[in-house]
Amino acid sequence: MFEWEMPYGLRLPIGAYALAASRHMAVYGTTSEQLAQIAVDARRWASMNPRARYQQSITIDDVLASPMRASPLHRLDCCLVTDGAGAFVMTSAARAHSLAKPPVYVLGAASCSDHSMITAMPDLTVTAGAISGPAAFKQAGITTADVDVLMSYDSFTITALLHLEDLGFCAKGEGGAFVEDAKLGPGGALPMNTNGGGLSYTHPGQYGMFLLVEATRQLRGESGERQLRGPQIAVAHGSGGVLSTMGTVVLGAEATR
Amino acid sequence: MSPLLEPPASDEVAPFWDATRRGKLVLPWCRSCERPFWYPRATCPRCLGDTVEWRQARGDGTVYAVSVQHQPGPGRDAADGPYAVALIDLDEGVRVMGNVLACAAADVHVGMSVRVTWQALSDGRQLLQFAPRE
Repeated sequence: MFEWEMPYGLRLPIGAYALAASRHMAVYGTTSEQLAQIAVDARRWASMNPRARYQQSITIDDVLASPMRASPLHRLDCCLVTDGAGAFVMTSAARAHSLAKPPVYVLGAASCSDHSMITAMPDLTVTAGAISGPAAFKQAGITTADVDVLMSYDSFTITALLHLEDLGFCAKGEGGAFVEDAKLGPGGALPMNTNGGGLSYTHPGQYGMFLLVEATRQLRGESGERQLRGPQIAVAHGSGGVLSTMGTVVLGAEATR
Repeated sequence: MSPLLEPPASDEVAPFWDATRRGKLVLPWCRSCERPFWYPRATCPRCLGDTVEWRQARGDGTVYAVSVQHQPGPGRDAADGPYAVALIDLDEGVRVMGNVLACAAADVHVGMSVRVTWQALSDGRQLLQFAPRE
């Protein structure tokens, strides 16, 4: 990387994600407005999370008017940089039943990795989530139609859009059109990142922890004002590196066992 | 321009860097699967073949993806202003990173035809770069 990428001054990680956004726009006609909708919906959820770093509502125009960082990504296309910490406890189902909190079950999990340098990513519009997602869904015996809440690593708006396509919530290339009716926000058909996401809630790095925490809270009914009505299946989908590594976890409430 | 973060020169890929001194772009070709690969290394990343032949490339390519950096990245100075970082698909079939020089950063676009150009490094080697192809 020091030999073949570093001399060109690409800011990381944002630059790698910006390259992916550039490619997705060129091939599929995805627009900055469509990407901005993802940030707008994250903020709408964050407005119901008293712990979120940013809670004031924003518009698509606000995102587009925020400073360009690495084209085509603006400042508000980017996740936060915050402090933060999370934890969960894993144990056997049998032991979980004797604990104070209702258990949440791991119904399926898979991970996949395919490159370390962005130059080596085979196709910048397809992540390894296209493998980890279907594998985890198959193990859990579910389809996308069964997912009540999606927790998807939104390091940048483009990251979340690629996840939607690779997990199969829409066809490859249709992510932009899929998100533009605000279906990811409160009251929408596919509630995503109900904690406000990395875009508005928190992002200390290793944000995957927060995906699992919020998925668990939703399944337990502990999400306060932003609580969905009786969700049974939650998917937490994390990503790392420069769109390098993907991990998908399907979690279920008691009735899904 | 501010000084670049100059790339290290590993012995493993000395033929690549030596060629840059003469303004020649050579690519590592695997003799087992008869295709070029990138980045240069001693072993083919596809078939693990370890017989590498360095062959001269035409130097023509197409912009696969591009991002204009509005804040300076590693080794760059804000005073130099925004610059384009692109992934370039060379006609030989490998994808490399480069800056697209000799045009406005905002004019660089996916699908643009580019050609190799060279940027001097402090030790006589040259850095692979690109410019619009007329």
